Amino acid sequence: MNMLQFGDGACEKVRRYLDSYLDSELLVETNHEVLRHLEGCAACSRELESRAFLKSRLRQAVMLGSAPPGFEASVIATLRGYQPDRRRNWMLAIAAIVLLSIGTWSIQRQGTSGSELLASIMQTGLDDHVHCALQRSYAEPPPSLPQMESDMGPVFREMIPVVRGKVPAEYRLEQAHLCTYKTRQYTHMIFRNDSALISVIVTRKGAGESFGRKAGLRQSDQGQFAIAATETPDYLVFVISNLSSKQNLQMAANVTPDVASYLKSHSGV
Amino acid sequence: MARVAAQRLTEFESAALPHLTDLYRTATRVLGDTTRAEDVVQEVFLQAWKSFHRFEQGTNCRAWLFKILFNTIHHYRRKWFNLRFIRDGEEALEQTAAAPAPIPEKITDRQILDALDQVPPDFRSVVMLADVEEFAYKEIAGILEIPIGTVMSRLSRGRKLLRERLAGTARSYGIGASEQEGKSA
Repeated sequence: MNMLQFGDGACEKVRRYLDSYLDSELLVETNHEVLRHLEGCAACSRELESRAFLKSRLRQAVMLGSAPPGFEASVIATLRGYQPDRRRNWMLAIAAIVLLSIGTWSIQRQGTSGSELLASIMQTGLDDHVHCALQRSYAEPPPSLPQMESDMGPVFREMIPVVRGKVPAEYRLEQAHLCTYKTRQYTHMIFRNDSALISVIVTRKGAGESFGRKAGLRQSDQGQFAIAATETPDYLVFVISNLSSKQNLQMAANVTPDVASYLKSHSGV
Repeated sequence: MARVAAQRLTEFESAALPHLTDLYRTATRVLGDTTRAEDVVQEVFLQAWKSFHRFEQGTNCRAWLFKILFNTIHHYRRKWFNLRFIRDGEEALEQTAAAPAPIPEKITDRQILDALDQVPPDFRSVVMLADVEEFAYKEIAGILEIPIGTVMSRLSRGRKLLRERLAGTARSYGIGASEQEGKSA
């Protein structure tokens, strides 16, 4: 240990210990040797002061930030609204996030630009399904039809009977509303029949978001989810469920033509 | 039964909510995005509540919550960020970590935060846990599930990169230059 103070390159060796010295994480003996070196070395003392100054200023700068107003209340509301019987949904949601992460990452690594765009668009719909239909807990019973119409807003309220008429009657309409995820706005209808969960999602296209020239449905499977999507000049339309690929595609084939017609007739809004 | 559950939730809130701001602040700096930080911290509290029965009373609740935070961030980061970005950041670190850099005294909070945001996330996380949240190395190793030696090397590299970014930022704002000019005049 005397090398730290008296050996060749002592300053360089001491500086390797300076961070741990600063954090009081050195063994007593090493700490003592560093201290002795610092007593006789102005350059290393200045270096220590500089590091201590930055550590202090960094803490000061970061500590100025605080959670936004109402955030704690929002967390408390989430905790108190959590129902243990919804646990399965959460586990599915977490599993979905993990699967999605792996799936998206492998597509990003291997895909061409076309498949990346397709994956990106599909992810846009799936994000809302996972975040809004799976992760969120809703009170029972579902909102009344007038409430849902109100939640959908004046532009989309009439889309409710259009979609309702195409989804089999055994599926209960649980939600129809406008929601936002990662600053993107969605029109979202959620149907459930026992364990089967279906989202019909509409969102306005972002720049460059298009499947290309070929019209029709696109289908993609991500883990337990089947995602079907189509587009109008202004909107993306998704049908996402935990049904089989074939069943989901059939559902989308029933639902999306009328939704697309509805959106085209409302394209001015 | 419901009364017991409500009492248990109150216990959880009393133990966990005092750390909400620390968790949010760390999530914001590590993710670089307040909206994502809110999503992640919401999930941290829900996950923590769901596993609160496994939490041993009397042990370090704060470190336990931070461990859940970084597990959650790890899941989200794989979804949100291109992993290559992190690797590129580490390569850049290797190339630029050679020379020590002076820290100007007139540096502003904004400049410090901007420089911190440029440090690759893995290193930034350790710097945040050590310098801002003031965890011991052993606690950081537990939170991030990495060896103590890795904590030390990431902290050393992270701080060094921060100093260099800060010196560069200061030069671009002319802080170092004006001090030099003042001395020589």
